[in-house]
Amino acid sequence: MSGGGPPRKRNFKIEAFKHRVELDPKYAERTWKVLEHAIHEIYNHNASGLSFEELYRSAYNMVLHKYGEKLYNGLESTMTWRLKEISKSIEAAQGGLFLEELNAKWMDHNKALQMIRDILMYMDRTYVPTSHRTPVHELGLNLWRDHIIHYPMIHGRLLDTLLDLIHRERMGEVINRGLMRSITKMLMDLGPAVYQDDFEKPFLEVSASFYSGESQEFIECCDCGNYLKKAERRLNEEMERVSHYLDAGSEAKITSVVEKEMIANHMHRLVHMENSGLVNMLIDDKYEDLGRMYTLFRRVPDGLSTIRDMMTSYLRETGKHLVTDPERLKDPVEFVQCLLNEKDKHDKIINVAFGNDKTFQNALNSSFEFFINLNNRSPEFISLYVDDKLRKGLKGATEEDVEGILDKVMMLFRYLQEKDVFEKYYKQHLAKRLLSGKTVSDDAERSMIVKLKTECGYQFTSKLEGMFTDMKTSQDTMQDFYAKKSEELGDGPTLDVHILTTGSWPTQPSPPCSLPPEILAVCEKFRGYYLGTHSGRRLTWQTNMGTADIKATFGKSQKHELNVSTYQMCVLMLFNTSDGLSYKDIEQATEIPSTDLKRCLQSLACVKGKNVLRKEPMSKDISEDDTFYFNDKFTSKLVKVKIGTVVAAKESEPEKQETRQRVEEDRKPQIEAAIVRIMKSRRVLDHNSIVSEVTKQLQARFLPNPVIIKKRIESLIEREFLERDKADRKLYRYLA
Amino acid sequence: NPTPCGALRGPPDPIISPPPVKRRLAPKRRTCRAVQPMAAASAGGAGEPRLVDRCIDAAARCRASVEAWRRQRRSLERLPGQLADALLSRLAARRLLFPSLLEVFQHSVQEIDFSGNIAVDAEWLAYLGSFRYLGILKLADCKKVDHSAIWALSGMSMLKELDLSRCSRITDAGIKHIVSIDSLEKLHLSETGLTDNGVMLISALKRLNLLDLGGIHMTDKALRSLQVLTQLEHLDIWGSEITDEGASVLKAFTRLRFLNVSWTHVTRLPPLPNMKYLNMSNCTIYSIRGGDSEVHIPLQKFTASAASFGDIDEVFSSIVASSFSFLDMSGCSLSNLYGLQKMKSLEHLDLSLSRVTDGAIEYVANIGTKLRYLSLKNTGITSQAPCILAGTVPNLASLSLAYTKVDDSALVYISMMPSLKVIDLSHTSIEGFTRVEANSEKILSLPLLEHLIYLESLNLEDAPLSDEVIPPMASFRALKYLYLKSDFLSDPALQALSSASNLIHLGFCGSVLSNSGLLQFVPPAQLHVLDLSGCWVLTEYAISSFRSHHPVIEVRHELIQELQPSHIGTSQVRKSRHLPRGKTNFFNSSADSSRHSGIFFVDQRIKYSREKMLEIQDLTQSNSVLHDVQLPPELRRME
Amino acid sequence: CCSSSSVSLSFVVSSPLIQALAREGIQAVMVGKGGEAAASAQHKEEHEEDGDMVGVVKLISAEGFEFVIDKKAAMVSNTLRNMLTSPGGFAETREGEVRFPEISTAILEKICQYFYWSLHYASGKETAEFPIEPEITLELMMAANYLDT
Repeated sequence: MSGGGPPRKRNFKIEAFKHRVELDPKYAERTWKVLEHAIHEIYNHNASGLSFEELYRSAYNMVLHKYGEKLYNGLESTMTWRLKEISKSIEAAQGGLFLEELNAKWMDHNKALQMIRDILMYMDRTYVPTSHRTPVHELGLNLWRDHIIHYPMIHGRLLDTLLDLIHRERMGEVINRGLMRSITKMLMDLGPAVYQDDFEKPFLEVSASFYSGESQEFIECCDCGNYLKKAERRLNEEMERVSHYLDAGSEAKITSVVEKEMIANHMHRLVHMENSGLVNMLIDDKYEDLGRMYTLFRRVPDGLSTIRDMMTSYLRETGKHLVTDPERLKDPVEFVQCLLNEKDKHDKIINVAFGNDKTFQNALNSSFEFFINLNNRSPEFISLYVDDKLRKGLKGATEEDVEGILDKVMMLFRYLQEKDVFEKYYKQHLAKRLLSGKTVSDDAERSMIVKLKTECGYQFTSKLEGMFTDMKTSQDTMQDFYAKKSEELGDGPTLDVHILTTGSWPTQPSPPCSLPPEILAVCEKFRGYYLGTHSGRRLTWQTNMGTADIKATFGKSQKHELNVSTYQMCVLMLFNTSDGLSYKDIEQATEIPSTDLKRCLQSLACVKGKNVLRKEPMSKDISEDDTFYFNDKFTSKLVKVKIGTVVAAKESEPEKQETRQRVEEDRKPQIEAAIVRIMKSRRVLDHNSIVSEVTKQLQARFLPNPVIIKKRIESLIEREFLERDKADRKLYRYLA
Repeated sequence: NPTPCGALRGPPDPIISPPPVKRRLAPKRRTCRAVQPMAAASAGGAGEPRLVDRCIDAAARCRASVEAWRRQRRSLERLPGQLADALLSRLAARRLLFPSLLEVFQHSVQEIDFSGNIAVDAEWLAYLGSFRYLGILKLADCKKVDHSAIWALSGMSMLKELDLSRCSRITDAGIKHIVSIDSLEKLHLSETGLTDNGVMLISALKRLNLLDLGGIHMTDKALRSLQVLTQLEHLDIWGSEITDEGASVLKAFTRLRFLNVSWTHVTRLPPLPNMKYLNMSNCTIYSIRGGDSEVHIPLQKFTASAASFGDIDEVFSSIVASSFSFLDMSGCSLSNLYGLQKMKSLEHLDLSLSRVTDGAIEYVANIGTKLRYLSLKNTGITSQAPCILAGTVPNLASLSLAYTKVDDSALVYISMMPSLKVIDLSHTSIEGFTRVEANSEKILSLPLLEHLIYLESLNLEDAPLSDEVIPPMASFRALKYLYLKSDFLSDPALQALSSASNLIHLGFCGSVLSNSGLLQFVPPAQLHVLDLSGCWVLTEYAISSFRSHHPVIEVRHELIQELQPSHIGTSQVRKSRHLPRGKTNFFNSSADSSRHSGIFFVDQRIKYSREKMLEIQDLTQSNSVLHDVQLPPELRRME
Repeated sequence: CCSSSSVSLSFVVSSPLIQALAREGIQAVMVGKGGEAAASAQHKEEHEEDGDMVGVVKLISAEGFEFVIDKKAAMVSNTLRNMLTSPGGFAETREGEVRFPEISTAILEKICQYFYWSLHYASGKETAEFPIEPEITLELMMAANYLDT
């Protein structure tokens, strides 16, 4: 070898293990001493002089020669001895140094343990599994747990120190979070059970009593908003604490403690708190407070339902007050606007503060549905609101604005149970708008129709659409009439006829008044023309629905153009031939129904600035003994004077009854149709099932009254569409 | 007496003669053997063998390599135990071991498993006797081991476990040597030549915690002598002459966790408060707690195959329901499952070959929450049973409805068992389609199973499937094992399965597959086994050219044996792989064919499974499967 | 580097496999006692990178022969990995050398070869048999067991 030449490796003897391992009885003891010494040196931070290989080899050989048990037991008792020493030094640490000493020793032990495990790796690999012992690393942790953490002089002190530090931090002191983190991590390293039993459980208990006390204190002296702010801050603090120095698994546990103590236990008191509770927040639009309440309450069982229930009962209460307040009912437009404002307000609250929570939206909707239908005039008022908007309100509004308003109306419409009543009124109001030419925008009208159609289907709007068709056809007819007959007509008054298809329009049969002769002549010509082109039709004049533009010359030869209704025109024309006429004279000459006549005279004689007639005696109301004179002294700054009829925007009580009557009448065939449809497919059905199915089918339009359904069934039985079952009188049978 | 060629151990009928049941127990135990040494040697290296393993492999490569190292006496002394164990077992597996070589291991080996090694004899044991550190010695099925061979083991001081199962030459005389090994903790002596006298000697081994005396004709007297073995946790005395009187001494074994008294006259067991595993197959069972209604047995596993119950309610009410997870009642002639109603922790339930009908399935449904394995094989149920079970068995992974009247209408319910991985529908009436009315259009029914996203194995053998219903199965995502066997299947069905991308094993037996059909078949990429047994139209040419195109696929067919007569070894491997599937086709061994025992033939038409055989024997009607098939001349003469 | 040195005691244990690997870019350095200067320079570097996978480590056989190999290769052995990564500064970590008084030169060389072979073939793309001469199987087996590889 010393020759320096290249080696011939085949020359090496394979027998490599030089020292023959003699079975020296002291061999095991001697080897163990080496290892024991090394373990001590490792704990003494003196490892740098040690040879890993030598130690590993010693352990390897001990295991190989079946001294694994001796090695293992030796390790266990040496480590135990070291840990007992360590526990004394930790115990001796004064006050605040206690945790630091514990942490420093833990770091030492951990490092030592890793080194010991490394040199004893072979034992871990072979002896430990075959003899079912605890692996070295785990053994080291268990010994630390038993001799340090569970050492009576340390155990309680450790817990007290940790809890005290946390308490101090809660009270605003700054503590060493890094140290806390190391200690809790140590407990986790020793096993989740150690962390939980020796720290987490008492921590949660202490926290519960802390927050129980604090919440009691807060609730006595804070208003709802402030309380919630404090609770939120506490909750965030605890979550932050977990993220800084506790195990992540504790987060759910500690937050649930805070939630229970600070929120769940005081939930009802908070919501109902006088002057600052939920209702006050809603009234004052406290979005931030509401939002906080929502996010906090959401964390606890029944939290959201508590808010929701309270909100619902508040909405129902205020809504009920709103729709039954007689003051409110005076102005339908204001009434509906009020509902819309209410809806907007709460929509915004749900959107901003309640995260657009579906269940809250549903609660809002059901509340509106509840109180809107408490007032059976709601359908009428909503229609009137639309009328108001489409008549004048929308002038100058952009298309989007119109859409927005109409969408809101549709939303209210959806709440209505009696949609057919709405339809009835809507038809009347639309007719008036169309015939008087007062509708502001055809597009807006049609847009509303489309909305109703998508909401309720084709049937609902077919008649409304018919009205539009009539308007268009009338326009064409009139053009044609004047084109063909202009020479025949000469200089007579210009006629504008709207031909209304019977059934599409809400016409009430009213006898035509006697028209002035000039007018009558033109009318007759038109009748001749129309019936000439459309054979087989019948024309009836609806003089109660028309308008007229007439020119009048007053005392100082001022000329005015008067825009009046057909009835008013008839009245005024009488004064071409006489200066004064009694009520009776007028009634006799015109044959206008007395209620209409009174209203018409009232608007001609009693409205300041529009009083083209003079009445004797002067008074606000018309009586049958009054006499009327042409008012020579009428003046107006305007050339065109519009004399409206005193509008009964809102129906009077008798009119309302009448409309109701007609609605009920209209419902009968619908209910019957539904019954027949159902029975046709089911053949045999009992009474209750029919009622519930009919209700289901019709509820999109109205809520049928069970009594009425029963009457309709009886009527159908009479007409032999159905029969009662012979055996079971509750069963009905369909007769084909 | 013709031996069936199917290589089954034992006669066909398990109900008439006990041995197969007994034998079935043996391999199970053997698999429990600790594999510590190998595990230790190969720890860490996932897949890639480590240098240690490579060395062991190199050392046991051939006789010459053994010679190269065997003289290094000192090295062998220092050989760590687990390496010595691994090396020794590798040498044994490669048949490189001979008695004098054993000597070099005497200072190192701790565990030896020579089970089934018939070369082991007295000379081997003479060496083993001097193994200082030997802790475990397994000599099961070493037929040459007799009492004089055992003598060498007497006085071993470290031996803790000795397995002499089925060493039939071990007699009472041998036991005398064994009882001198007082370190023994586990002793297996099942099916040896022991008698009462030998058993009574065992009472000297006070440290025993496991004693297997299965299949020994011991009596109550012998059992009584064992009372002193109070450390016993595991006792196997199946097939003995023990009666209730003898069983009463079992109460001395307070630590007993495992007890097998199957095939005995025992009807009542004394209360054993720690018993977890109990086997009372083929017993008549009255009580398992000595009638003491205060005691509840924390059983986890209860095997009562082919047992009859004297008082089934008493038996089940004595089991702690919360830990009871395994119940085998196959072959029990019971129809009422009322006793099961509290067994909500059951995971494994075998009711095969019982008289259960649809009416009893309600009880299974009630306890279905944890059920993972359910066998209703060969019972009286119909498609109504899966209907009742659907929705109640969220964890069911394996379901067998084989040999029942189940038809296609069951598939919709089976598809509602979301965790199913293994389904056995063999020998059912599943056709793969349904009709709404008698003559209306066919609606395919197998696509329903596509909902089962974990379905790995589907057995439809001997269900009357036709080509048209096969294609949907190609899209079952997780399907790895598919077993088909039907006379109506032909080329199109096999083509359709080309796209079953995860298929590992495809059985396509007994079909009318043509040569061109096989050659045009593009096997799925993962396919490992293609079983074409009984595809009688195929010729050697087609099979061998398919195999040459797809060398990685193991093809199975009757002709393959003829193709490679020299490769007996591999064909035996093939057969043994058949066994775990429980598919035990064998040739007709009934009286008819025994007349022609001289004729050796392979014909798919005369193969039946055991169950089918029984069925046919019961029916005593003519063999309808033999219609319109061209018979070999021998058989034609017979008719 | 340092493959041939003028110092009288130096020699090179040559191995075709390792030379082949070296050509392929894996740095394999094996020196006799002569290469100390270079080796110490290298382990100074390695000391700065402290326990990293880079750098080299010196393995010394029972007979005193030194093998300087990449740390990366040494890490194939779990024992060496632990030895080189264990905290607390054992002598081996500080000095960058490990003595094996119970492993002969031939076996240690084989072990080193295996480290490189394992690094090269661990990817599994290529396969090649690692040759083990029958005479050394037992010794190698025990050394491999000792080194947990």
